[in-house]
Amino acid sequence: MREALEVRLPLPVGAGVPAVRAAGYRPELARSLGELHAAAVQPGALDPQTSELVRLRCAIWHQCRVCKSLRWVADGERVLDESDAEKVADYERSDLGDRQKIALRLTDAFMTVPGDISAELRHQVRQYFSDGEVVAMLLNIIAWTQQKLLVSFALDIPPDASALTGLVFDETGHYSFGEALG
Amino acid sequence: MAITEPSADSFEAAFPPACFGLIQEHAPAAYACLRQTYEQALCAADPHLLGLARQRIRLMIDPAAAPLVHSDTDRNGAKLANVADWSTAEVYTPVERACLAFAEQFAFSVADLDDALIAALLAELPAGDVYGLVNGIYVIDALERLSATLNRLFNQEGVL
Repeated sequence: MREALEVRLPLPVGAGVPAVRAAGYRPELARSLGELHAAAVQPGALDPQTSELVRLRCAIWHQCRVCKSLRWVADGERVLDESDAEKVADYERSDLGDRQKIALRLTDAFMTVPGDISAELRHQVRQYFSDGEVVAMLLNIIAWTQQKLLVSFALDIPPDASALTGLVFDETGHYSFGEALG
Repeated sequence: MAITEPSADSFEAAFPPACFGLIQEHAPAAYACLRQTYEQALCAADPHLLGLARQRIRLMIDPAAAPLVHSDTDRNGAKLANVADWSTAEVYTPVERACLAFAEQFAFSVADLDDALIAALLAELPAGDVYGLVNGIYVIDALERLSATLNRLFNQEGVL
């Protein structure tokens, strides 16, 4: 388990949480990554429930402490029931639907060896998702897996280590942390 | 050198139209951001190190991928050709070894990445350059994964 890690990078002097201070080393790239993240998760082709399942799968696979501590909230409500969120870790043996499991299989393939995507998975993805949905899902994964940067430097520090926190997106795809969730 | 092989030092080689055309069609704003971010990544770290990392990641995540070549084969050809054996091949400098060790673990399992891999980079590069390199490796990792996934899903009907 990745718990209570020391940040692995000497940080520039300044204000802000460690991840923000580290971004000061390469501010223009950090800005581009932020704009890419927003563009990639902008509301569109993919339904929020599938997107949240994919986000949680990325968080679990990469053991990102901050991402695991977040739950997407829209209009004051979690987009995914916590009971479904808890199924993501062992989704193949869960009662999640076929479409949801296929999305998670594609997510796993992307994060491991995408060159080994089987004909069966390709068929499933093409059967259950439109081309636009596939593109949206892959862009979602690109955005969520920016967590790999945080995890590399142990900068994945949750906003509230004792509780789940809301993750809120505006209409442009930019995010902010909401309130602690009960 | 076969001129049809993808080049390690070509900007456009990171965005093969057969794969990224679908992104451009369905998400033009995100596609523009991908290109902008890649451009920034190449400015944020040593392009030579990023080229080595890209080759290693490419061969790890897509066993059928064509290896990259380099336009300057005298300087970099042997390094690109031997990248899968970086730990034993004699052609690599300490900073190249540290970069390849990190890139390999980053692509395989970032959750299991340990302090030593970052420390090895910090022993060779200033902290800001390590941050830039790791960010650059993320961008390359993401683009290579996107390319391989799109290729498998949309360009290989009937291949398997």
